[in-house]
Amino acid sequence: MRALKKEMKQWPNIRLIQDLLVVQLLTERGRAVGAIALDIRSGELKAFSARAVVLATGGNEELWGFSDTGPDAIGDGPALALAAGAELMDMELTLFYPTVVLYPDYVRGVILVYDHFLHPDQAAGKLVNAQGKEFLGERAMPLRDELVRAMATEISQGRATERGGLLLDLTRSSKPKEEVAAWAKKSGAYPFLKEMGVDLLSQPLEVAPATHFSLGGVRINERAETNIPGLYAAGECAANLHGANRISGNALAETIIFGAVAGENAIAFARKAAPAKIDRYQLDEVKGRLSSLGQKKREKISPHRLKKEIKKIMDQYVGLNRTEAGLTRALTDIKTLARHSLPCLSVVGPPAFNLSLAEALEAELMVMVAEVVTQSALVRQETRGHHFRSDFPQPDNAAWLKHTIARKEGEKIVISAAPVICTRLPLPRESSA
Amino acid sequence: MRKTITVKIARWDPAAGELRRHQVYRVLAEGPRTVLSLLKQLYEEQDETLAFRPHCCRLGLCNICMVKVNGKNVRGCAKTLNPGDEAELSPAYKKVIRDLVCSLE
Repeated sequence: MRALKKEMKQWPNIRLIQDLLVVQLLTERGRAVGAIALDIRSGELKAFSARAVVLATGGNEELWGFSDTGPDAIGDGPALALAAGAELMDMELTLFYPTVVLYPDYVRGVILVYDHFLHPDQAAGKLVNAQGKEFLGERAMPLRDELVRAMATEISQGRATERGGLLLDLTRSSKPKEEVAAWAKKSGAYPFLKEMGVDLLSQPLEVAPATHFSLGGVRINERAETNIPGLYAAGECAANLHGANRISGNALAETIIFGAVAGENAIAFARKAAPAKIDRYQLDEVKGRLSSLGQKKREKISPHRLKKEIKKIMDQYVGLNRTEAGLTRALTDIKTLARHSLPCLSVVGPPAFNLSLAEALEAELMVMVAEVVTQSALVRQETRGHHFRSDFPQPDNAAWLKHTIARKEGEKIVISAAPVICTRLPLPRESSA
Repeated sequence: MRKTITVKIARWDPAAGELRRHQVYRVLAEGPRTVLSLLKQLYEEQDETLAFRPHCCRLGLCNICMVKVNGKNVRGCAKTLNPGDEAELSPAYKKVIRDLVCSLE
């Protein structure tokens, strides 16, 4: 961030506008020509005309109740792109991080880099269930998705704490105390927890898998282009890079590399593109939506409550244990939210920095993304990477060595499949499981 | 044992030409609570018009949740209040947008 801020100072023509929530992309004859945003500071809508648009909005981890991300990871980029006619890809693929602090409450959501703490060659701490059993046994350190699955099994089979957590215990390490401490201190969480009065070295902590990274997102190609001319996406909100799992560290590299790629190609596009006027009709439509949020309603629902409803559905049916029955139920529930709860969204308070207004607009986008995630999860009838279908517990390379693609047709979301493009490494054979 | 945490929060909407005032809120808590989580609870359960920055990086690094507690700037995510505590919350910087929210520039 520091390097980025420093570089931006060299370019006086770059204008940074903060506290904006983009609620709709402006389009003109199928081309992206700007965005309409809520200026959270004033509560007013602002329209921006642009010759090219780059989405870099991050992930959609906040669709679930337990995450290690910030509250803005709502999937706004994919939602905006989908509504503008862009294709989304692999939206069912959400990476869960195994060891995130669940309790104590006041450090909930803090991520513990699991290999520093658990790897036998590092701190060699133990993961223990509520009965005090080291359930990973003597086997070597499992891969991240295997670890998540082992933890999910303990939790779903009733061997978790009353809060649904497992214990990460460094006091059970066979290593000398100094060595354990040296490894623990490599993690950014250690000093923060220590500052908060939680000493990982002397007390076990309740942890559970949390949503950590969105593998899916807006479908881009190697030039960061979407299927909408003038619309680009980069970083976590984009897809087509990692697949059903991700190597540690690649998310950071992705932001730097694809940020530059998207920027260069957006500039080249903008140089040739004709300027576009702001379509008053599209702006008026959003204005209408905004003013309806403040109107008196017979039945009212608070935006934060609606967000909780979404999280509840996603946690219950679209988490680490997915089945056809559960996902179908989730889809029905999400559609009910869209039909009955969204129109009841009600906002109170003054226009300046009104959180409930911002949250209402966010909730609208979240419902859209939740539906795509669930529908894509329903279509992928296999278990791959971080997508666990207990009714299809194995990868199905014959049918599903593919991406899922979601696009909007009218009001409907249609899911199809697309081949995986791999230029350097061979894909697993289609015949092998 | 559950005890009350009392916070006195500076409320101000300069855009509406208001004068600064203080509002007292009470929350029952069993253990230590971060200032940020308290604000979130107040917004959700008692007063949806309360303005604060809800962002949390979860590692105490981003400083977006900076707020004055008893006259001292602290990170809302890292500052805990205990059951029984009383605290006064005010904006961290001079350029106030509303209540506890300041401009980030």
